[in-house]
Amino acid sequence: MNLTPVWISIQLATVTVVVLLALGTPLAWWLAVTRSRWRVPIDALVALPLVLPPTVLGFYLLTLLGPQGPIGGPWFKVTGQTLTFSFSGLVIASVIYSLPFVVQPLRDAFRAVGEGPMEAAATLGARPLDAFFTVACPLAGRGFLTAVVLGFAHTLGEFGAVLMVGGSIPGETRVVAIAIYEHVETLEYGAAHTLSAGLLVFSFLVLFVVYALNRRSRPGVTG
Amino acid sequence: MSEAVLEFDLGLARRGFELAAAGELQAGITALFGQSGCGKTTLLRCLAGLERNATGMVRHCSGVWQSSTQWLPVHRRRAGLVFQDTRLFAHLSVRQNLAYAERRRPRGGPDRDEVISVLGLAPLLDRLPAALSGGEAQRVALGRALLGGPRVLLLDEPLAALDYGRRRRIMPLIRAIPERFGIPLLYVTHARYEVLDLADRVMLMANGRIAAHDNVAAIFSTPAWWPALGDIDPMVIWEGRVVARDNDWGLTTLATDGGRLRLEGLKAPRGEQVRLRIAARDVLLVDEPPAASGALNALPVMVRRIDCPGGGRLHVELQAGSRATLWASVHRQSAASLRLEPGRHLQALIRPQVLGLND
Repeated sequence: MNLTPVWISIQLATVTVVVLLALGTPLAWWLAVTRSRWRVPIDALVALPLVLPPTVLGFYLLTLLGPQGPIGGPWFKVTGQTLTFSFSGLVIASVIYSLPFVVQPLRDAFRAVGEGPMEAAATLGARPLDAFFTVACPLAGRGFLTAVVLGFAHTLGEFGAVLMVGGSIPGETRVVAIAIYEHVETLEYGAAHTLSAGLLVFSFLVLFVVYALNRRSRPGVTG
Repeated sequence: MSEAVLEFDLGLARRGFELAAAGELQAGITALFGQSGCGKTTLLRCLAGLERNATGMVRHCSGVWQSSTQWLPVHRRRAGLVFQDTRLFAHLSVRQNLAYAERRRPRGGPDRDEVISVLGLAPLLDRLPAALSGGEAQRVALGRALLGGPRVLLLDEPLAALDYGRRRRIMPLIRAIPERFGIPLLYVTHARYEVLDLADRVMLMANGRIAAHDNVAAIFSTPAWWPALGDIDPMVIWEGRVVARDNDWGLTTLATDGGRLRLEGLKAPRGEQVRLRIAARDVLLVDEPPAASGALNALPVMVRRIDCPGGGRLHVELQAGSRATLWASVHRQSAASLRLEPGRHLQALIRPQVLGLND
């Protein structure tokens, strides 16, 4: 059986989580502490992928990232490659699709940490960024764990958006979920079973671990 | 008064509250005293730079912290703020909490081993903050602030959450800080006895303003401030100096502005400064010097004025020595038989109470 789709899925999920941590951490911190009137609309925007059908997301991304689109066009001019039906395009789609699964746990964890410890760090001479990495982030540790696990698992499980943006190019954009779909279409139930069961067990284990960790005592934030 | 280490003139408007506080901080311990909600904590936060909306001026002797054109961020002010809720870093052990502060100080500062021994932190070093009691956490927070090498130390009701015994153990540690480490201290409290036992000076705060700022004796001995101090009964605070000790009788003689006083059970050595409280109810007026009496101390006094606060008693303001004031609480009938009137010379039998932590 061809395991390349599994490998692509894992690559995609890893890259997506790394990108999401880099972008999502500052965004989550901002959402946690800001008093700006933009907080609520941005919060809603971040949560959109939770409720939108993946096809809606996929359709807009296809339009934006296509060779004539406002993002895909310049990209094509600079790199000579299209964003749609490529791994890079998949990453962009996955980042947007999994955004709430990373940003929301981080935001809630930062909110639980609160500004108290950061203020204390500042009075002890810690610069803002120093305090952020040495105090806020470690105190939000469990939020990071949840974010990474959920972001990774959710990216593995995506289908609609990926299919519309990436298609199903073997070895390039054919991820596990799409491979399963095509196995079923071509009546290869054995292969579909193997991949499906694998994904099922993996997803269950991931969620089990997350819930088990969150059930334990809250991160050491004292009152 | 010694030179100002920190001067401020700050404003901050919030819904239903306005801070407009001006004052200065000198070496030693200054108590910031006032009712809950009068803005004490807000003022500390403004001084530390944690209130970005604060307007006005803060000037440390080393440079300007805040003015209309300048704003020094919190981490560069180095005001050691000890929060009421300690705010120890929950993910770090006590040792690491202390090291966090020490690593970030620009240069010099209290010695780590000295801070650990003065505050008794050695047995706590490997614990996590969650495993500390309230008093232990306060000591660690104090130690952490000290090790940050602060220019001033701002303490926000550090003893409020502690029981009496623990307070009594921590107060001498706080008292020793200015002298031992050369750091001036602003101490927020609404407990009167903490002011009397710890502070050199008091800032009286009411409705977001500094109503008065003077040394402890002057503030507590001024009738105008008694309501703000919590409706205290008439009293005076005298500062005295130990001039002699009589070990046979166990008596210590103090020189004060009002005259010499003898006290029992005081262990302070010669030359030591001692703070006394003489409440009006502890002053008994007699017209002749008694040949013998149960009181150790009799001082010649002169009546300055007589207040009638209502009820059966009168408040009599007396002059002792050349410039010391004393208050006596006298029943109307006694006042009549003593023929009290301004200018009358009498004897006061007094029972002073020793304040502070030198007992």
